Amino acid sequence: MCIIIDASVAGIFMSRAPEHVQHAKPVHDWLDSGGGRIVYGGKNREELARVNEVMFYIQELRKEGKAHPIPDEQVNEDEERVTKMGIIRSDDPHVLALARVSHARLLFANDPPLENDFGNTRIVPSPKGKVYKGYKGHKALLMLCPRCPGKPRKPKKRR
Amino acid sequence: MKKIILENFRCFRGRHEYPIKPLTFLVGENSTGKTSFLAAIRLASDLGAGWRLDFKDPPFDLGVFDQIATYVGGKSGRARYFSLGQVFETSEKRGKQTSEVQLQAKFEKSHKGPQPELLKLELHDSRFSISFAISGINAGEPKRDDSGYLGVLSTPSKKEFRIPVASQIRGEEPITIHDLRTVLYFGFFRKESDLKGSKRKQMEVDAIMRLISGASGSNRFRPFATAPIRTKPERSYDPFSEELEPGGKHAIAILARLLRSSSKEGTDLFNAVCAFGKESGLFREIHLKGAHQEVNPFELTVKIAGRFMNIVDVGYGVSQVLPILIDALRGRRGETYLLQQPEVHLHPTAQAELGSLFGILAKRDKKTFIVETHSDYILDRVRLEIQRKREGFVRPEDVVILYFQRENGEVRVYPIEVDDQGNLSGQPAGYRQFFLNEMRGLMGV
Repeated sequence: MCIIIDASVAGIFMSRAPEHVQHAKPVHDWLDSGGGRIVYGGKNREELARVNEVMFYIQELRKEGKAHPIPDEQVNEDEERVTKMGIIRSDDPHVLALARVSHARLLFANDPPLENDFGNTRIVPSPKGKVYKGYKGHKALLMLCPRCPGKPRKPKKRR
Repeated sequence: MKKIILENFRCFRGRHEYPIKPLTFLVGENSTGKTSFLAAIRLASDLGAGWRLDFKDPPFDLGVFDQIATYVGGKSGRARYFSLGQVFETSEKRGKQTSEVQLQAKFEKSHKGPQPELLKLELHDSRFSISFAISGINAGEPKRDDSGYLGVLSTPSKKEFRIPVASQIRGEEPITIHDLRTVLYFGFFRKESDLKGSKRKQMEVDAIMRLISGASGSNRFRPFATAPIRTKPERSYDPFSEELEPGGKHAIAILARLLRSSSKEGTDLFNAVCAFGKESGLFREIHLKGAHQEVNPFELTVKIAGRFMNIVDVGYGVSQVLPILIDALRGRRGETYLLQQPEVHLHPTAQAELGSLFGILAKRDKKTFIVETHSDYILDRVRLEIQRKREGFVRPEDVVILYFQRENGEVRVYPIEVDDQGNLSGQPAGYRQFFLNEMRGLMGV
């Protein structure tokens, strides 16, 4: 399962501050041993590359086969299509285009308009996109579980 | 050489075949068999070229049989035998068709001493198979197999022919691939009526001879192996031999001769070395001081910024990389280089530049570089040049990274391919775990 890291959380993703680490750690653990992969490309790649730590980290993940670059041309081409739809509320059509091209349906972001657009199946076709907004309890972690891609499940009640 | 075959050789337990490409990088932790792998490549090449195998030929010292055969535990300790070999391609019908040929030698412990002794030599392609039991020949007392013959030749017509011992190869010298031709021709074909007489049978004889010639033809040049540390720089050099030496001292002598001669070869080498120096930031120019006459001692000076300085007075990286540069740039077309840590003492800029140089020479001069390295900068530059689609750079299908990993007391080798975007594929889980852990540790997660 693949995740897109939005520029809005790039700082949080690599931050050493404890209040940020609690949000990013589940993603790092998921990438490390939970079968997670990062996809990046187009303007998203340029945005992430502005943060040195993110750039080096993603290159390491790429060597490990856990980060997949999507050709810029494909993302940029689709970005135009997304913009022409005229229904997006966010200013991140490149993230939506990346999701459409790569078929990634999980986004790590902290940007409400983008979160709305990402969940809109008219923009990002089914399966419906999920947004991980940081650690906010059990449900958020389930999103990153390799057994239940994208769909949070309720924990079984003990009898 | 397309592949190397190892069986019970050092830390490689069991039989393994690994790909060899024009740009082959050997990576992995210390003591995972990378240097043994380089030594095996040279031995397999010597086997194909008909050289006598020397397991202690510098810069590699593999020791005696008990140090070469894999440790298998138990009472015996070591495997009873080990094998070395290679798969190479030969062209038929004027180069229109190619076929894969496998050459393999099996060794056992000699009864006369601790050294390995050749036990069996096998050569086969899709049609023919020649197998020689050789034990005892070296002592001048051929120990024939149970049927009283030296070997077996299988032909496409599924016929098997027993090959008698040929007197031509008896003696003290160890048998080589060249002897196969002698054995087959004088000891077998001339007497074997089954293979003579018809045109078809004569064609089979010719094909077998071509097979043997192909083995020696595919190993025309002995791979040149460098030592992990190159020779120390000297304030002044006395004239010395150009005989190849793993430490690379010969390269300085060659450079001096070529620069003195003002030949085209010398000028080209000078320009190429200076171009590398500028790109890598190591130096701008090199100069030999006092080398007007062959007998005079000379000084090797380099210009870094402004003025020339003796090579002893500049960074150690310059003297370490110069022999590699000179050997790689002036070597013959099609030559193979076995390089151990070419990056030592070099700044990442120069390390990366080495990656570019190897890729260009592999493409332009059809050279093969088998590089044992711990440098990510060399590998990353190769990936980058492939991603950039640099003209004159080796193609992605001609690059392989062999990742050596210890698993349960054994070594496993994972061939990692590079695609046209510079992405890696085929890496095992944990390939970069150390680096990721370090990075995550710094991030506090």
